[in-house]
Amino acid sequence: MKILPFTEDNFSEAITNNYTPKEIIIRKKHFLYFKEYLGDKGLKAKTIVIEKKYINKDFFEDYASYYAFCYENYPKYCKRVHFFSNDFTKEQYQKIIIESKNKHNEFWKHYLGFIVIKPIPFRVIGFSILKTYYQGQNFDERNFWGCRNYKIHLHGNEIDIISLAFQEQDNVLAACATTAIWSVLNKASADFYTVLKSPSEITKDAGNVSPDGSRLFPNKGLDLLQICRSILNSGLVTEVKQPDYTLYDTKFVSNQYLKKILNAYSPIGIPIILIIDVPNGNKYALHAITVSGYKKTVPKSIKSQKETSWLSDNIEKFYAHDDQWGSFARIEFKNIIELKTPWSEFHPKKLPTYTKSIIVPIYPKIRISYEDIESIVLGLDAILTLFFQNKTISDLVWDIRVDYSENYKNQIKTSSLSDSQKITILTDSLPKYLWISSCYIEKYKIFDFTFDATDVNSAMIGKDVVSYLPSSIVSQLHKFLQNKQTLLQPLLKSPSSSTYYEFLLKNI
Amino acid sequence: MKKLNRNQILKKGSKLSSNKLNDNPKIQRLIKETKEKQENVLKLKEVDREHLELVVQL
Repeated sequence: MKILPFTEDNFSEAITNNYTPKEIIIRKKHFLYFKEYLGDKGLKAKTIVIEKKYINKDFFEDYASYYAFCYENYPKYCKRVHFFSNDFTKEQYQKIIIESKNKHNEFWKHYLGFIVIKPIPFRVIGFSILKTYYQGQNFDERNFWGCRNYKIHLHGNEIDIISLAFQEQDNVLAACATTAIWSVLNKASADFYTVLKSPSEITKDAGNVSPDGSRLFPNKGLDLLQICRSILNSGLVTEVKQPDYTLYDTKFVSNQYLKKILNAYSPIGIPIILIIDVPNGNKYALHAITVSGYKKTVPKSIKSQKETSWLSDNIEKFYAHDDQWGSFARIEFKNIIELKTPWSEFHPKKLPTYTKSIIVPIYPKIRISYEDIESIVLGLDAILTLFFQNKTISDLVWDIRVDYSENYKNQIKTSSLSDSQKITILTDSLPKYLWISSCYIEKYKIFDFTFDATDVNSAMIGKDVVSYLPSSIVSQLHKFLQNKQTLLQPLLKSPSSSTYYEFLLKNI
Repeated sequence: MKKLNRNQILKKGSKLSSNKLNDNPKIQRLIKETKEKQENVLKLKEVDREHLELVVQL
């Protein structure tokens, strides 16, 4: 064990190995990124503790399947580098670890996490768990919905940290796509449906050959279908979201669509993979990153407009594991299709990044996709717009998301509904997953429309309509729906449009 | 949490009607535009084989 004050020099020394000297480390993007993340503007690390001999399960698997067969005698042991936000000496630390953890709870609150250093050339950053920046559930606070609790064992102490595991690709068993899947599985495997695999197993699950027909290892990357196949083999299914915006014959995912998807699937808590086109020297190249959080601004009053208003438009930035930079990298939106990533920020010409595709890993029982619900919501928005006739103080704003029905019931408890309404909803039998479309006027929620996320999309999947409006407005709306059925029913685009209309009449 | 009242969400003095909606061109345009938007959203679900063959290799 070695204890050092956190300085740029000590940090670079701490993350070296026998194959990668300090001169190389300080030129790595990860060093640039983590020294900022852990530094004074970030987590404010003050002390480094180095564990010299550490067995890491992921590297062990990769070692057994590849590195052990190399002529070069690569070691199987890693180094684990821990960070603390307080100052202490070796003597003070030794005194603390021989006593009960409960006696030193204040000390362990300063623990910031660790980085594993793999004993291989250049691609040294292995399994790493670092604290996130401050987060909360309110608007204007970071929300790391893709994180989980990790129990870290250090010198006889168990420390809890909310984070998402990170590592860089080794370019042999894993390229960026494999590493992005590995981070997704790290969260999803917290439940019993999903199997956490090592990078080499994830790449093997993608298929027998590389997309260019050559051998799978050393890995040169995966195509989108291989990414989906690999995720499927771990117990999840995927939805691939395709470009919705064309500029000069090139297709992109617009920022608005990206925000809608992040907002819609985040309540389930499984990180989402983005396929981005990044500026790399003189050209662009495709890269995979894993989104695990975002920050939303406080909703503002929106004047009535022709386009439908979405609450997801309030997402101002998101956080992603980029295996070539670091964990929780901040990414900002710029105009219709551009993103500001570290690739853009550190590019000499500051060229933008673009989204080419979104891969949403989900549980197999969620069978209805976002687009099916948005199509219904567009009809509901038109019906309510015709009813309110610009008499509301602000435009109708929609929030579409998929969530566990148990979470939804929990939210109902703190709503403005009467006790009897709450009891009806809380005691109702519901599918495990629900799509919930909430309609707002300014900050006031006026409706929750719930849909069975486990059904088939040709069926009428509406479960309930929960109204927060005053009863006088509800009865007027009911009459309006009755009077104008012939005109309004076609707005519910579905093979079951008449059943949907009956559902509205019954529940409003 | 308190119950909503009309004044919080409606403009001052506004009255809602359950009958005041004629089959006029403005409404027909809104219905047509909504149907177009719905079709565009559902088009995003169509499979694009070429897109699935993109290789992510950085």
